[in-house]
Amino acid sequence: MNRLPEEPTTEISEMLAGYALGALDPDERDFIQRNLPRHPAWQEELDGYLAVTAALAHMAEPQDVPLRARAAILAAVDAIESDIPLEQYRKAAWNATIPARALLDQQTPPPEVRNWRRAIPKVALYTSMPATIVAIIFAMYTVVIHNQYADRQNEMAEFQQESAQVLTGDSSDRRVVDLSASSSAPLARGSLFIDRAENAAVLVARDLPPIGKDEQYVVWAQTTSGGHEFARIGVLTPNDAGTAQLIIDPPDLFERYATVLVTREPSGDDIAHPTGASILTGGI
Amino acid sequence: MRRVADPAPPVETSDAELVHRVSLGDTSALEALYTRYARVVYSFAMRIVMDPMLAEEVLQEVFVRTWRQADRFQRSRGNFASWLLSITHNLAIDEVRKRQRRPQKSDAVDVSDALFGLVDEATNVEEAAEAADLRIRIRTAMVTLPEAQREAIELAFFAGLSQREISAHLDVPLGTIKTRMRLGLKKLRQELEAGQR
Repeated sequence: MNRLPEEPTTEISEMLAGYALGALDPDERDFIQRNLPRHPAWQEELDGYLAVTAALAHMAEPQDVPLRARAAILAAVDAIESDIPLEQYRKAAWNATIPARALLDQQTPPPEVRNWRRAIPKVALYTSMPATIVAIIFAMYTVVIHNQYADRQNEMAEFQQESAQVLTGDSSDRRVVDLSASSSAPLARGSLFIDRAENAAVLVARDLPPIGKDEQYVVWAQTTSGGHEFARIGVLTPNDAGTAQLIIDPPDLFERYATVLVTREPSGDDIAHPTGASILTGGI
Repeated sequence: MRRVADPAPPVETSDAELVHRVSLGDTSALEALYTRYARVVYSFAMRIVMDPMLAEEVLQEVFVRTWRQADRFQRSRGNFASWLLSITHNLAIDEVRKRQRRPQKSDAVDVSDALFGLVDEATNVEEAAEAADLRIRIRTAMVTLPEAQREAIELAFFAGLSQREISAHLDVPLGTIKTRMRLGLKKLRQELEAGQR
């Protein structure tokens, strides 16, 4: 086998430049990675190219960073420290439930937010204006970023472990459906995170009104054939803050459902179709 | 997008110290690095993937990797920013290639809209001065390159094309593309170094 030159030849330099730009074919990339540790002069030349490519990154037009990303990253770190298996986490909880975690971040709002939330029912009832609700929710978002993650860590870890088992598809197979609140529960909010590759979903609901022991929140899916064909796909069990998550493994393909609906029903498994007040609804 | 100021003050600690603290499990150090670099990482990812949602995923993954791999970071192999942006580049290009293999579905919901478009204003403050200076210098340097060299570099770096793919795309011999990249990067390095003096 020919001994490789200590100093980069023109050919090696061209490969190093391509390596720095991420433009090599896999076999060339492997060749460089294999030989770099034994050739300091190659590494030195590569470092020079890498300094340029790092500068190239700054050519991009500056973009505003979404605020929620910070919370999502810190939540992710929480999850990692909770020993959630990385691959499961990365495939599902991380990618598919970024918005879910952004919602969950708000389970323990700071005092000023709690005050707002106490005021919300009156405002909403008096005005019945969705815009008011949206404005208040926006205000909540302005302070949510520094919530106490520790308070919700256990719940999040459990949720992420559950969701990791069902949401394993790539990003192109996922979509998010925002659920709209009805007048029965104007403050309720929800999102449905669908992984069509796995035909599974996670429903996250917040600010659900308290219910009695003889009541439950039932999740339904209405078929695309229209009419009143509903499939009962689960029950939401909210915590004291009115937050609930449900892993959904529907009896049929999500594509065959047009709408998802959350209703308030009497306890029991014998209710075959929605009869109670609608709480949340969204088109799939 | 609406803007929200982050209450955390700018952190003056060096990158190396922050990375060291991250390797010891200090989340506040990670947040300080995030405040410092999130904007350039996100902007860079956006430039490559051209999709806010994907760029956000890249941003998040970059900092998760920072958290997990901080102890592996070797300062002798370059500075932290280079390391971070290299990760960003790799992840963003991976996303571009995945998308080329599998066209995106048209009904994907923009999560930015779904979860409201608040801006992390703190990242703007931290990033502003130094990054703006570097942006000007690299843009100025790029202008000095012959068009063919600039095109080869941009197709590789921002569009994720390999040397072979660029050769086919431009119908130019592969050797010529390799030479353009090497000469282009060398020239850029000279220009950047000259700009620092």
